[in-house]
Amino acid sequence: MAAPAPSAEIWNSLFMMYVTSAVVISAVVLAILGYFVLRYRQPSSSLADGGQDEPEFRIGAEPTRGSAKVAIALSVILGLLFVGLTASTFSAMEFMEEIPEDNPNALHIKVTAFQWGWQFTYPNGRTITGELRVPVNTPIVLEITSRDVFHTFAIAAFKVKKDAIPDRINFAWFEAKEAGEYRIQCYELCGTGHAKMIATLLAMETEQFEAWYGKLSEEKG
Amino acid sequence: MAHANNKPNPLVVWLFTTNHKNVGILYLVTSLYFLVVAGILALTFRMQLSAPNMVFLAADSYNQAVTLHGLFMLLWVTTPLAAAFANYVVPIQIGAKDMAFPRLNALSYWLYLASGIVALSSFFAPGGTADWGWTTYAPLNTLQYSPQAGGSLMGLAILLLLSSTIVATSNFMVTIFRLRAPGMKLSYLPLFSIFWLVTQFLLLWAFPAFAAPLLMLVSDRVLGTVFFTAAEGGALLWDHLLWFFGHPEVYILVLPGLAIAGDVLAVFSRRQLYAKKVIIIAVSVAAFLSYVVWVHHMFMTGIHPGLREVFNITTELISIPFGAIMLSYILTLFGGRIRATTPFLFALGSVILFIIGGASGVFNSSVALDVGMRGTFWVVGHFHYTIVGGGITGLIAGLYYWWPKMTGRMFSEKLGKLHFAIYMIGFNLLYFPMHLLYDMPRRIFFYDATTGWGPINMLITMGSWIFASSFIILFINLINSLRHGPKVGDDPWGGANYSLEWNVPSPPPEFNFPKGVPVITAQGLEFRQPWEIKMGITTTGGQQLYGTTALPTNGGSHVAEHGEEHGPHLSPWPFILSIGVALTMIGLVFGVPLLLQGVVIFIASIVGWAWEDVKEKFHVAIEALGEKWPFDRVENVPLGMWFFLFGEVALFGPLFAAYFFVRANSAYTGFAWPLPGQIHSTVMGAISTIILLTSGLATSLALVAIKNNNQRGLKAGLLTAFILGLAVLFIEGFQWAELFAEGYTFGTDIAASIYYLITGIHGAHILAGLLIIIYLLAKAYKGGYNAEKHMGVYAFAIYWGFVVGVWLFTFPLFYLI
Repeated sequence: MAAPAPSAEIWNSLFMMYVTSAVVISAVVLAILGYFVLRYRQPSSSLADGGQDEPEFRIGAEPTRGSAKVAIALSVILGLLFVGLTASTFSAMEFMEEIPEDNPNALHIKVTAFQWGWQFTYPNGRTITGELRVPVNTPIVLEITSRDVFHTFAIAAFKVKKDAIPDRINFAWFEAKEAGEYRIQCYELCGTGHAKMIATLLAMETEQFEAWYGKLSEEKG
Repeated sequence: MAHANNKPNPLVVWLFTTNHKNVGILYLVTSLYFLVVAGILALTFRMQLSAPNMVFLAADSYNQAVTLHGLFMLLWVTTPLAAAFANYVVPIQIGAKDMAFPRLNALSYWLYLASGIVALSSFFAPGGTADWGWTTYAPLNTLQYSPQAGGSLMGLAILLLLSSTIVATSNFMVTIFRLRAPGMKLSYLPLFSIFWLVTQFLLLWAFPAFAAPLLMLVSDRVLGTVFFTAAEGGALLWDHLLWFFGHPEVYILVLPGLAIAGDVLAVFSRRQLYAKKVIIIAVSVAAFLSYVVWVHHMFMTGIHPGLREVFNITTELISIPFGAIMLSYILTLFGGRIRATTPFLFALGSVILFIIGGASGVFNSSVALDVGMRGTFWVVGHFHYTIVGGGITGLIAGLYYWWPKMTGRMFSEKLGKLHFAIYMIGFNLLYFPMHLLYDMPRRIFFYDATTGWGPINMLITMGSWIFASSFIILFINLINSLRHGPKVGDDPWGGANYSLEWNVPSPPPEFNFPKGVPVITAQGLEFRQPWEIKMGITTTGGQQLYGTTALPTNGGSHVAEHGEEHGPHLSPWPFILSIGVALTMIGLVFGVPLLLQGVVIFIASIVGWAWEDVKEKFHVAIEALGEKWPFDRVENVPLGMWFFLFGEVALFGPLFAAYFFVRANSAYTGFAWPLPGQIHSTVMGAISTIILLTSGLATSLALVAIKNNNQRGLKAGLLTAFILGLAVLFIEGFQWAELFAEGYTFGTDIAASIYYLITGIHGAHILAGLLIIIYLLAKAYKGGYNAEKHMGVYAFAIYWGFVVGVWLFTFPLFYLI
């Protein structure tokens, strides 16, 4: 699928990798479980004896069954798989989290969450509420905070998410590949207005953005 | 009450009972009731979410319903349901006649019920109850943003529940460690008893750790401290403390159900558990790991990336022990002779659903994927698969498994299987589609049609109806069984060789083992008479028992062996005390008359309880003759106190951690932390320290005195400790009064808040100690202690030592640095 942002692209491929391994492993494990149940199931008529046939277990007997080696070997296999998943997670995270602070093209925008809405302040002091306008193909660095309670800033389509915490500034970044409208929403319960704490992300072609904002290059220093 | 043991009134029995089986049934009925309440709440908000632009619940009702659903299911349903079975079967499984402290056991239950009633009553407070989600994030949880009194009441209700749990935990630990039958090694116990013991360790550290932030929250809301409004504390202080509790809590919820699943799989496949030792090691490792993963709930808070990688790894590590447990369970079935009864099916369901929940959990451990998942319905789906799927499904297996034991009657297998089928269909229709909503935020009461979330939500809501209706079948089946179910013998499932409860009648008599004391020998289970054990005749062949069979050194003269030798198994005080506490809390919001009644009843019950003790009217002395490893050399009462104090460490630990957290943060926020001596007089603090140390010495002297049967020394020591303790309280009160007069109050700044909270809680501990001294003195004057019998004094000495020890940390933090 075509992702509207590099962060979403990386996230999607990592997600697919996890889905594949999760589905394959659970399917194998559940299939073995299902096979055992069907294979060793006794006819229900055997219940009539109250299940009094000789069981293998006995109170006070040292457990004799099972080779620990099998369990450990299987666990190690699982462990190795998780090491693989973790390694790819870390490389994905490195990209998603590496804030392009030094990138001269990056546009820094302050995000202030409040009950209930989003306020965006641009380098030139321009402040708007409820709508975030950005140029495409430009790294956008967000400095996120909150004026009142704990919120979470998220652009779900881009897989960008960061908590907006009072008295604290958190950083996030993204880059829109295609012009369009996307949803910005709060992802932490923040009161009765939580569900409607939504803003629009408007990714614009650079010329259009500059027509609205003014020349970008002059604002950076 | 003295004559009540002949033919007591049933109402009296149920209200005043201290018998573990009755307490278990009380827990069962109450937790199922709360399950229905919390389930109906869920149905209402699922209705609201069923379609876009829905108008069924308003935002504030929705938020309250979501919050109460979460809190009830986590705190008042799942663990208490497990506790119901634990109360009923664990004492039997280990071969004991009752819990170590039957009255405290009853107290745990009544405090639990009282806390539930207080929590429900918060709904009717003006403005409603807590509406901040069960996670109670700061600063939404402060008065400024959630002014309703019901929120504070909910905080108090949770604190009450936590205290009920700590009492129960200390009790279970002493019971499982010290009341086992002769020859019953820990590793011989079925998984349920073993996992329950592990769960107790988790509870002992996690629940008090949750009490710390709750105390801060309630003090913010009621006294005006500033923990969660000040920049130095605030959101992240709450986050760290909540999630330190939060992840162990997940295993607290899941382990008992998984344990039942394992036991049931083994019994109904007639095979030993596969690699039982690996299972035991794995569950212990998982329990330990659960304390070092909490930051994975905070990946988005902007904490250091390196820290996130560490917690990413610890979190993924958790899947290894759980993977080992699941694989062992599956391999258990290999080569078995499986009887697919209702309990077996639910055990199987628990394993299947937990595997799916475990697989989706791996996603959440990934810091990168968590960017997408956090705060979405994916997470909701995941934790319902683990907690409901793994935990509750296992507990339902337990309900069917032990139902004939508890009632003496069988249920309908047909209805049981129907329940299972509808349960699994409803469950998966309800929770699986949530994974597809990995962009939809949790806890929104409203979404519009452009989101495209409507159809999946409709599916989920339909699933919720099917899932809920499966419980109706369960209840019909159980009620029918009570009236018309065929009677069963001791062992309807063929579990007699697996665990002890299938070797006693259904339901078991008051002291569980009518055939004698269960003894585990190399040949298996035997029943011996107590005198045979005391004379050292332990097996038919005269062979030695396994392990360390510590016989009472005093000849067991005060060891009660038969029901008739026990005092009445009833005490009114746990029940009355809980009424007092509940009325006091409810009265805080609903009116002073209630409050006053509550306080009077509370004080009266404490006096009544102490008096019952001083007069030794209640003596269900549950002394065991068997295994006590590894606590052979500690008596029950001091051991219970040790465990309780471990819980206390988990309370004070986070309080001190909070101190360092806000103090470290003040360097960033620019808050000038007061210099030593600037606010608190170092001299006064030093005087308190010296007096407290002296009182500790006096307590030790009292203990040494009574060990030598020196009655005067005991009284003198206790009296000295009392006077010194009182002096410290006065000095403390004097300092508080002076500071208040200078205008330095609870809410002055964060340093004041933490000072008042820690010294206040410490002062409350001193006050409690003084009350215990009064009780000890009363009993001492009645001649209640001698060289052999002085465990109350011993336990108090440990407690007082702890109180002094906490002060040795407190003093430097506020007076010297």
